[in-house]
Amino acid sequence: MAHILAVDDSRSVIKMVEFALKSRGYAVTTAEDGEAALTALQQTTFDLLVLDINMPRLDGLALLQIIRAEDAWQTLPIVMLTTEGQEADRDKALALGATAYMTKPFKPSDLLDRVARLLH
Amino acid sequence: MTSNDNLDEQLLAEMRESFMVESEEILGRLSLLLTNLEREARPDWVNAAFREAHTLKGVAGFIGLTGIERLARKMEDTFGAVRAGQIGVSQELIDACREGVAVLVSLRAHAQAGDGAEPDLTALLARLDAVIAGASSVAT
Repeated sequence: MAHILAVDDSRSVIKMVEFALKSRGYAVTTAEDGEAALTALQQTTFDLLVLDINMPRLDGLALLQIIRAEDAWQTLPIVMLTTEGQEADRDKALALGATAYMTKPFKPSDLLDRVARLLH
Repeated sequence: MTSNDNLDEQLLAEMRESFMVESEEILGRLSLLLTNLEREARPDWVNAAFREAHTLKGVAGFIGLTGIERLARKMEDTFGAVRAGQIGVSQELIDACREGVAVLVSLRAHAQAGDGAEPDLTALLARLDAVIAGASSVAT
């Protein structure tokens, strides 16, 4: 089963995303900021990344740039979590190589549909 | 009801419980940041305050706490305007945001109690709008 890295600085959001993904049998690793996510990426091979934008230390857009600059991570599917009113960030994320985006608030089942489509 | 609806309902109920703990922590940090910002308008403190308001807004939106979402969004806009260099950290900004935190604490308590009673946000939102719009000439 696919292994997904979910990154968000909100404990409530990350818990919801983790429970939703695990309910479909995915293996899930979580990180609460970009630096922790980068460390996890260097240690483990993931099949998909769910990535928030606004985070302390290394934000989602900066991490996205680092990821896409690495050959090994060029094709890693990345779902960015954006917020209503942050259309500029969303456009920037897509330009930097994000595969898809979800605008918060979203239904957990919509995230699961999106993830399933990207993994199959 | 479909299995997707059940899953959404269950996860959002759990998120609501988690939010009650997380929001208390966020409001504590926001309060401390305002005390720090009153002393010195450090950009990393402004960024941190922006992120706290942003996170609060985001989670409240998921679980339908519209009062908290609206007020946190306005506070995020306020810190965002500082971050963008449009306004400075004035005493009025600090005072209005302190009132904002106090009202968010009250909104959270009402959400926890599930009593449906919420303070009227009109005057406070207008006050924060005035800070965003009118304080542009106040430099720090």
